[in-house]
Amino acid sequence: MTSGARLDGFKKAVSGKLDIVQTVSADWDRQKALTAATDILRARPGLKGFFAANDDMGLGIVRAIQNAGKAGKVKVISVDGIKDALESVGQGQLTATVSQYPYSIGQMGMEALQGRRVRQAAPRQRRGPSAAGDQGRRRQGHQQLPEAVRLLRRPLQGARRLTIARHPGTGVIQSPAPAAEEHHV
Amino acid sequence: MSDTNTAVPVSDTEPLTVRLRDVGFWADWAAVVGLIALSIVFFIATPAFLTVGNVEAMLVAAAILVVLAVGQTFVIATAGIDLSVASTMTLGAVMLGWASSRGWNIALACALGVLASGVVGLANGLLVAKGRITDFIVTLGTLSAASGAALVISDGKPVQVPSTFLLRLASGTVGPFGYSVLVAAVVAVLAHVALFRTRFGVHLLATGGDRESARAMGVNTDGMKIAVYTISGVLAGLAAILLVARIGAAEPAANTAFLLNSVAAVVLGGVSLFGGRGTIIGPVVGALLLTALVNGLTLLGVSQFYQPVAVGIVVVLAALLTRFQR
Repeated sequence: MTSGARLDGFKKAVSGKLDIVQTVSADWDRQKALTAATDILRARPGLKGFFAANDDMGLGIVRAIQNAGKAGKVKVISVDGIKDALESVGQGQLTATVSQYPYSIGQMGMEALQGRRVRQAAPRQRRGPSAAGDQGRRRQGHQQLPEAVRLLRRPLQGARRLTIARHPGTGVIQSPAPAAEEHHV
Repeated sequence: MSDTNTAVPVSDTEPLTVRLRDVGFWADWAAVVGLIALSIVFFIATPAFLTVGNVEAMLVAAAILVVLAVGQTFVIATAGIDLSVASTMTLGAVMLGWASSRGWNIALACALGVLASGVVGLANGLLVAKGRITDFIVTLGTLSAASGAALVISDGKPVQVPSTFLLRLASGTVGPFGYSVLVAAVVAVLAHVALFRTRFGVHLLATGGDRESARAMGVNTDGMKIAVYTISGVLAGLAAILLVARIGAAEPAANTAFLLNSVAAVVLGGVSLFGGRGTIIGPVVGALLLTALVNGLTLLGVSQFYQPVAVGIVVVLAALLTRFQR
């Protein structure tokens, strides 16, 4: 499994807004990401931020930035919304993490299959729900990341109406709000 | 290199000029020659490579691999191989995290990590020596079992290990050297002394050279096998402490790169996979070489997909060169 799709999505979203200077492979691994980020920070002192395809790598990058004495100066956004990442966001270290909703994605997959069975045309591609948690929007613990989207009778047809149950005090941007608009790589 | 180079230690009685024309001399020092050549190339390409800060960072990044490679050297010197070394480290790290998350004192948590890794090493040794199973198969089995156990204990999730002691271990320095670098250096020196200045070392190399002859001479070859695998396990536990300190968390990650790089470092260091001959300085320099290679390629911004290709080429070239060893 590669991070190709996540990187492609990121590149598409930031094209024209940010300069992507380098892409390194760290195999989803925190230690490798730490080592690579240490090297990159040294080679490119003017770097503004990192995008990591999972939170483990994001947390490794955060550590590298702290070691380099650049905490707060270089931003890091990663994907998944694991517990450690949300805590790190709460502590103002990781800039933001983008979370997906496997429950809803699974539901949409099954809906598509059912649609095929009754010969309904299923869309080739449909955007699943996601949310980005960052410091400004959430000040409480990690428990507040929204649970799965409420059950919809026909998520595929109603994908445009997908809403994420928003708990009070959460730091979550609803899909499809861009996750990384103000962060520079 | 010219014939006027006098930086290389001379141990033989031949004049240096004669030895420099001997391909066997270059083969014996393949890792050192490679590291120097690589440093020159990278320094020309990007002066950032040989700055004090970058060299410090490289040494810190290499410390874990050095500790693992030293353990691997002991095993390979007895004609064995420890495929479980990285999983054993992962298990040690997870045990450390498990204990720490239950409020154990950090020293006890570290001790538990080393103990867990040591037990895996001991099991490897017993299975190889008493079970009469090939090293490759035994450690292939424990590779899987240890990484599975790490997943079971951690429930597949990373745990943060907030410890000021570990933070100091990761970031503290004595002069230009990080604590983790000093730990690796002490391990390497002790290993060198054990291998070349003690009876244990002589028996170990004899076991690797020819197990049957060594046994006929009265060497406890089974004991040697058990000892080297236990050493490798304990060093994997020590590496686990360095790993948790470095990333601030205990992760059940597979860490397969550490396994492959530990074997590559040992081969780069001119240790024979057939056992009986080797050095400690060789694998240590081999580990530094692998770290420097990836560091330089990253500094240069070489595309991510070319980096493993470059590493593979360097390892195979070095292995080719070691064929000319005297």
